[in-house]
Amino acid sequence: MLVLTRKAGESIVIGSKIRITVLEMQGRQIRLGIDAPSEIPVHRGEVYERIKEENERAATAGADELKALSQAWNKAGR
Amino acid sequence: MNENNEVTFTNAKFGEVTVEGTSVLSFSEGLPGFECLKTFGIVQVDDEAPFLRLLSVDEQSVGFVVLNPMLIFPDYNPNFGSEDLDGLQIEATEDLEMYCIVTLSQVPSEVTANLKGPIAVNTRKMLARQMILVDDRYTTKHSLLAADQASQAQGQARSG
Repeated sequence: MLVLTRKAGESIVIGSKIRITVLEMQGRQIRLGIDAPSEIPVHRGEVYERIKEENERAATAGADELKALSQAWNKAGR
Repeated sequence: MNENNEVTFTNAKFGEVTVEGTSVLSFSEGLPGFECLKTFGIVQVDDEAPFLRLLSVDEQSVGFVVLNPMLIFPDYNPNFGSEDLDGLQIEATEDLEMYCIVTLSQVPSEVTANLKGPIAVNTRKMLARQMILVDDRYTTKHSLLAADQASQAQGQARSG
C-alpha cells in the first residue's frame, strides 16, 4: 500500500480523473472530498463490504426455500 | 436472444429458464461481489408472488430472490442522490422501480431483506444498479417476519 502524508487542504490525484482532498480533521474524524467521474462509483468501505457479504449470502437462493417462503407468506394471509 | 425475443439459460437451482427480452436487466457495474455479472433475467412465478427470481444469465450458480420493498415496508423511503441513479437514464419518476434482495433461510424468522442496498431499475430501458445507501435508517438485514408479524400472527391464529 502506498502511504502518503497530507495536511488539510492538500490532495492526492489518482490517474488524471480522480482527486481526493483532505478537507478537515476533527479529533478522530477526517473529512475527505472526492472528485471522480460519475462512472466511477465511490462508496464508504464498510457499507460496501456489508452489501457485498449480504449479496454473497443471498446469491444461492434455492427453489425449495423460495417455495417455503412464499407458502408461509400466503398462509399468513398476504 | 432467439427470434421470439427470448433468452434461455440455465440456473443451478431453478433449472432451464426462458425469459422475454423485456425481462432481462442490464447491470453495467454488476453487483458488489459479482462485478463481472452484468445480465440478469427477472422471473415471476405466480405462486411465488410477491417474490421474484433474479437470475444471472451468465453464471448458473448465481440467483437471487427479490421483492418490492414497499409491499412489506410501506414506509420505505430511502434517501438517495441523483448520482445513485447514474447510468440508469431515468427521465421520469414512473420509470424507476425498486427491489430489495431477500436472503433466504431454512428458518423462517431468519429470512431477511436488504434495504441498505436496494436495486433501482429503469423499467423502460431495463437498466439496473444496486445502490449503496448512506441512509442509516436501513440495514442489510431487516427481518421479513418482524415487518409482517401482525398479519403473520393473525394467519397462525386462523390456521391453529
